[in-house]
Amino acid sequence: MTPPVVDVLPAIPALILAVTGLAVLLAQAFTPRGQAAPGAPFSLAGLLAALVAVYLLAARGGGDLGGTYVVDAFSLYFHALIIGVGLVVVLLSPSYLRATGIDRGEYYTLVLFSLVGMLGLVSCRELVSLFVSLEVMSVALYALAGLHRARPESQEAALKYFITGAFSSGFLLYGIALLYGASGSTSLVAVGAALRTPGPATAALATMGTGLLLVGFGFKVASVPFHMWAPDVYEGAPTTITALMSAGVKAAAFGALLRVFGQALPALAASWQPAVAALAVVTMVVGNLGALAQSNLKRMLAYSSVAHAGYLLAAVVAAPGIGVEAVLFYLVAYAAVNLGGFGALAALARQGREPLSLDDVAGLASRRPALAAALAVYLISLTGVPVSAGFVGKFFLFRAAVNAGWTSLAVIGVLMSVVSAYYYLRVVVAMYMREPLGEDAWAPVPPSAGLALGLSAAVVLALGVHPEPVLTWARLAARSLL
Amino acid sequence: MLPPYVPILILGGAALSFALITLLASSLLGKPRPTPAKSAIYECGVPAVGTARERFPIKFYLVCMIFILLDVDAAFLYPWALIFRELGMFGFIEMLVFVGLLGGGFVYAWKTGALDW
Repeated sequence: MTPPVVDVLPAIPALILAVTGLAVLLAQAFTPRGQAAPGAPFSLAGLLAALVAVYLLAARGGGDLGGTYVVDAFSLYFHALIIGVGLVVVLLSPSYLRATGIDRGEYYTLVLFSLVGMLGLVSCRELVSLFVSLEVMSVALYALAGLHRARPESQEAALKYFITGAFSSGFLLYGIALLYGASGSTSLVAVGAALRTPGPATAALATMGTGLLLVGFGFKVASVPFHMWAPDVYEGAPTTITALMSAGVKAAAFGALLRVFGQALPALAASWQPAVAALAVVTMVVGNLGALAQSNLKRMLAYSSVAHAGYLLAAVVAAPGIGVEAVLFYLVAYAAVNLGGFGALAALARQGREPLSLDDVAGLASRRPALAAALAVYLISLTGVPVSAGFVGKFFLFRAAVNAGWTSLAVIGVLMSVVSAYYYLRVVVAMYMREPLGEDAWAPVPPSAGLALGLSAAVVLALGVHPEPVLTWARLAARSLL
Repeated sequence: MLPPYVPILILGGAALSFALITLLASSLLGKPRPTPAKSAIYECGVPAVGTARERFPIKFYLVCMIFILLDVDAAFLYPWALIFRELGMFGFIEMLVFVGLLGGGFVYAWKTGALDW
């Protein structure tokens, strides 16, 4: 037996993050009790090194680790997005952790480990490795959601996330087993080839497997009817972690969904497209109507994140064709906006409290003009008003749906975007047109968080005015999937 | 020619009816005469000293978790040792990575006081 020759270069970005995570963990272990290790600078260095590695990999043209872990244009696109999300989250974290009294090195370790899982999730071309990556990502996030150990909401978030997450992993695993039964392989390419010429029994197995996979991914991207965990978890988790979940997890889960359905299951498109379309419709409607009823800003943004999963699913229906690039582009716009939205709340945290109601942000424009302006940009982009990334992104999503013959999806999406204007702009109105209530209870915006929020706002505006570079890259990434 | 799964179904049916008939017959024909010894949890074992639903220190969980790590570590070392020569340098490096990762976890657990009783 000869040992396999493995080209580990494609995994270097993930390895850098994993090693950094381990280093932060050990640094915390050797720090005296009650003190926090300098996790943020470590993590920033690791993330920047990983970004450089991604750039070098891209210059080298990607790579392939034994056919299971593939770095093609598609995963490079997601690598850059996920590491960018990680950078913003780490920049937002130190001040928030100090303000809420959970400043520990383990936080950064878990964030880095979950990023490693996300990188794997978008790079795996083999179902079992994909599942392992999903668990690496999720297990770290279960712990992060419960980091506020003294707060009952945080405990509730961790438990709910863990139980529903484990449940959805079960669905995903059963789906993988059935696909393996139908095709005799767990490699996406081999599954795709086997399903092109199915027998009658194979077709039934593969259809059931596809349905179960869809349920599993539906949980992870928080699409209705698998969304009930999202508002509670987003509300209870530390706000910086909510930002990571809404931006990073959603991007990684959609990446895996596109890869699995695009590479392994295009032959079954006729059977999964109507199911995804139905999910998209209920997700858009329930997400937006749910957000209307929320008075808590974190819960409102959580329902909004459910609604956006619906818009994205509308383009996934058109996935084998032009839908992929629309989804890829929108994920960047959406990640920037959500990091900004949750980040703005986290940046104001002081003594364990953060602004959560409309009263809390009333008159914010007069006290924190820059932060209020940035938050207004994010909310306007979430609504989908022109000259913001959200408008361009939604335009591509709905155009993909129309071009694929699903005009009704685009119509519902546009109508629901109009509904969403009410709850997004309500916050802008409160910030700009109401007088501040009482004393200024919030922290001054810390420099690193200000940098993170400025970056997000810049990305939102830049993509709204000049989307071509990212769009070209998204097109390239989408092509590598086919 | 029967389909191949029919014998299994017949076997399953026979097993189920045997269990059901036995239970039914003993409840119809027998007379229950309970004695303290017979209604004990283990009729022929050590007498129970209390309920099983007792509170016990959470430290046990920590020690169990750490032990499982060590256990997995050891269980993985045996097959590796068996084919160590064939795998050569590749296997050695892979195992160093694996043991190194687990070792990092142990150092963390030790330094943060998970092993202090």
